[in-house]
Formats: sequence, structure tokens, C-alpha cells
Amino acid sequence: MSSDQPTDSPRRSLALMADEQLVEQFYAGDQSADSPANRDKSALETLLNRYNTIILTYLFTISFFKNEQYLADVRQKVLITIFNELSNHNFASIVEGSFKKWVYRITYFACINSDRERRADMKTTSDVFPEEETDLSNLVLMRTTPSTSDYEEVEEQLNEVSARLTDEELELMKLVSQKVPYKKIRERQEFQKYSVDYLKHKVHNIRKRMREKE
Amino acid sequence: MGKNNISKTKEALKSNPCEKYELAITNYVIGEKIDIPQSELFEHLAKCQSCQGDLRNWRATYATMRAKEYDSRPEVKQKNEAFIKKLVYETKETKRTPIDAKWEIGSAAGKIYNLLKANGEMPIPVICQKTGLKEYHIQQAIGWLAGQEKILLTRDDKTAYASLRG
Repeated sequence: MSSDQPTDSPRRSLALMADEQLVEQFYAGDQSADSPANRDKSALETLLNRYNTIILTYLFTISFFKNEQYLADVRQKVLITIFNELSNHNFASIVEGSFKKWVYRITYFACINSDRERRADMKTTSDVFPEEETDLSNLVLMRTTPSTSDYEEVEEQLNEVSARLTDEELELMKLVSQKVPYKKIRERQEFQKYSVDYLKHKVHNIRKRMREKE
Repeated sequence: MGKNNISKTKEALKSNPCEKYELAITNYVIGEKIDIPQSELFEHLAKCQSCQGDLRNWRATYATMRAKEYDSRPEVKQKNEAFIKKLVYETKETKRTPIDAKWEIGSAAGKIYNLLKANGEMPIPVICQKTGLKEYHIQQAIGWLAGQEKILLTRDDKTAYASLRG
């Protein structure tokens, strides 16, 4: 790895900076440096790490395909686009608004393009439209697409509730997050004593506890 | 213990008519089988603002849970960090350079002009093939030649043609 990587203490102060400040720091590094190689790249690295999971979260909501490996690949494309755009100084908060909204816009368009390519590669109709969807369900799903501010609220709810869950409940939610079906969860030793119905209601009640935090 | 959770939901079901839809929303989002017909769920959702809010919240929550869980896996975490480091510290940056428009468009226009002079009217895709120029250079050069009234452009249902004027 190259020698221009930062030490730990500047990294800590970068973590406290706002997105737009980090962009400014990256741009400013460019002006004072002799060559692009001497830019303040740690600011850029901090930004990309900060948005890594946020981008994937947004992709899980908006993509037609919920396959995690596919979405992780789309995320890489988004990170490359952000890197290229920032390297060319193409983000200006006065034009684009907040950095976060700019990232969401890039993610949205990358997702639409990738979904279109993936659909075009598919051979059978059932692959292209994996779930039977009606006009009404499409309308409702479109109307209930989370807004960018929803994720911040949810993050708080999750952190608060997670801190008060038992180990067993945490494990259950982890398995649900991995999309393990209830029947498979029940096959695990620690959940054998419960019925599928119980697990369903358990998850539902945990979710209600999160909503009550609103 | 198990009964406790189910009875809690049953109690809620009595006091809240939306409870059965909320339970269906929980299972629909995570991809589990739901206890009521899907059409009934969506008909209710189309009318009920409160359940729409519930669905929106659970979709955001579940997406956050999935992304966090995926990124917390040690092999994924390691891969992500390596990818970002490589991208930031090892990618050769692409710097934009100004286009020498006069030279680039002018030389492309010259090639097209000479080709049309030698062969007469030609379809534009054939001009692309014969000159070996990039499509955007062809478009710029043809635009420039047409603006200078050096060429005449015509089109039929299938393609466009260029020929020298006069």
C-alpha cells in the first residue's frame, strides 16, 4: 500500500467532520499538492467508508432484485462513480445540495441501469418478474418506498431496541436479516423448542417495539 | 413463553383492526408466507395511511438490518475495506483534458469530405465504417460540415445519407 495513508489520530478527527467538509478537504489537498497522488486521500477514504453501508441499505430498498451479492456489486459501481466524480471535482454543494442527497441520486441511477442490464440478461419471464405483482401492489410499493430521512430514524430505533434485546432475540433478528426462513431457523438447536408461529409473532413483536420508539 | 407472544398479538388483534395486516406486513417484507391473501393485504394498504406508514417503516428497517448484517460479516468487512483502500490509494486518477476541437473535428470533417468526394452519396453508418472514426467524432464533423453548407443530408425510413453539395 502507498505511503500517503494517514496515521490514526488525523483519521479520528476526520471521522468527526461533516461530509461537505471532507469533500472540501479533499479538494483543498488537490490545490496545494504538486500532483494528484499527493491529495488528501484520507478524507476521501473516510467519506467512502461512511457511505458504504448506507448505499447498500438504499439498494436493498430500491432494487428490483434483493440478492445481496448482486447489490454488493452495484455498490462497488456506485463507489467507483463517486470516486471518479470527486476526483474531477464534480460535486459542489452549492449546485448539488447536500452530499448525502447527491450520493442517493448516484445510487438510484446506478441501480436502475444495473437492474435493466440484469433483466436483459435473463432468459425466462419468471426470472425477470420473480414475484407476481399487480398494478395495485406496485402502486402501494411505490407509495411506500422509504425516503432518505426514514433511514436515519430507523437507525436510531434499531440501535435503541437492539441494546435491549436478549441474546436469543438478537440471534433471531440476525437470522431473519440473513433471510433464513422460519422453518430453517427452527432446525437450529436454540430455536427447536419454538413453533414457526411463535417465531413469526416474536419477530413481529420486536418490530412493534421498534416502531413504538418513534 | 411461546404462547405469551401469540396471545399478545391476539389481544392486539381485538383492539386494533389493522393488527392482522401489520403481521402480514412483517412477513411480506421478509419474504415469508402471509396468513391472508396478498390481494387483501394490498387492498387494505391502498386505503389505510397508517399501514402504509408501517410498511414504509418496516421496509426501511429491514433494508438497514440486511445491509448491516451483510457488512458485519468478517469476510465482507475485509473485502470492503480492501476495495475502498485500493480504489482510493491505487487507482490512477483520470484527469479531464481539454479537446482541441478545431483539430479533432476539422480532421474528421476532412476525412469525411474526401470520402464523399471520392464515392458520392453514402449512408452515415457506412461513413463510420470506412473512416474508422468514433461515432461522436462523426456526429461532430457532420454537424460542422452541414453548418458550413458543405454537405447535404437526407434520410429514408432506415438511415440517413450524406453527400457533397453542388
